[in-house]
Amino acid sequence: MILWDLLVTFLLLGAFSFGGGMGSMELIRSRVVEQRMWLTNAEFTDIISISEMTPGPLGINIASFVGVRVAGVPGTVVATMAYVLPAFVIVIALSWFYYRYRSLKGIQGVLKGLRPAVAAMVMASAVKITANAWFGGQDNISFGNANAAAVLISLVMIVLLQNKKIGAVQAILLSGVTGALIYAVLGMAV
Amino acid sequence: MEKQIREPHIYRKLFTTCFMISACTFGGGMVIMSLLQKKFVEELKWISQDEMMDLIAIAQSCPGVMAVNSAIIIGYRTAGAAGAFITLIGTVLPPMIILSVISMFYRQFRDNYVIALLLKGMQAGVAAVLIHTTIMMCRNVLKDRRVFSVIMLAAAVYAAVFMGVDIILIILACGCAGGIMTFAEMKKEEGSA
Repeated sequence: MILWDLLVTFLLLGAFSFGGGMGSMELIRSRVVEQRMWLTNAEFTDIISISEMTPGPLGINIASFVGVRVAGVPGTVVATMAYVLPAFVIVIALSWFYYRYRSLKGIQGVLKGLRPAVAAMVMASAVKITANAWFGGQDNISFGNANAAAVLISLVMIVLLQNKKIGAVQAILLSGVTGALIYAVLGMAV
Repeated sequence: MEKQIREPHIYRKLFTTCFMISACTFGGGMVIMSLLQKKFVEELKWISQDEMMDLIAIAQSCPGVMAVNSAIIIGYRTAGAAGAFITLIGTVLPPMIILSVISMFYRQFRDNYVIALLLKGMQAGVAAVLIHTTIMMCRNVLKDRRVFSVIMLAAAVYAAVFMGVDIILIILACGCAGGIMTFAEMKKEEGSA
């Protein structure tokens, strides 16, 4: 039965997709395209593009898309919920553990050590996304390649965010509208 | 368990926050996580910056989608298992609805000029949010003014940004270093006492 197959497949994918986003793509592709043949390779590539243009995390987008293609709305509900269920259980178990034992001194040391790693992780992501927004990719970083409008918008938004003038969602939406207007006036090709 | 947040309509607030963030956010887990941090740490002040960074490390070390894991963990922290379920549904629902609709109109959507312009403009905003979060987090790491923190941060940044080292390895290494440091300090205190 198709819903059962979706359930089993996405439970497994949910339990084993470490590394998030692109990291778990190959595992998902091997199951969805090669083993189950629910999508062709071309369709799978298409979902990745869709995911880049729509809100929401990549893994969820793929589960939702595959589900709806294979078995309509019930399919999308089953696939998506199955995909997040293993994480739901594990995350709650680990959080419980964290709140139970975090006052222990040794655990505190480990957690404190983790904070620089978290900061560095966010920074690595910030560098990639900023390079893409300002220069069109990490390989093109140079003064001449800079997209002046994007740099200006980002800098204004950082100041507004730091001064707590706006929330993050507003910053992104405001950038979208401002950017679209500027690019339209400049007649920029997209 | 940490005290849960006592607040009227907490479930509704958790749901709408996660729903809005998930519906308006393009890009990966780090982006959504930055938005959650802005909302729950800086605006609502329900979670401290230290705690938030611990929770992110936990979310990162679980399988599955980082953004969803962060939402679950925040729901659990503020309103228990029911809260975790609410934030899970809030985060998952928007992409589910949007993807179901878009799977029917993909080509028209992708070729629309206005949508393409908006998406391009939003990239600059996403970059700004990430830079802002990076600044807040680095400040938090460095606030204790210890040489150890500076070295750890510099090494982690070098490995993650310039060497492209797998983030799981960096997390493991930093956790071990933190544990060893604390152990050494406890030994020293014992020695001097």
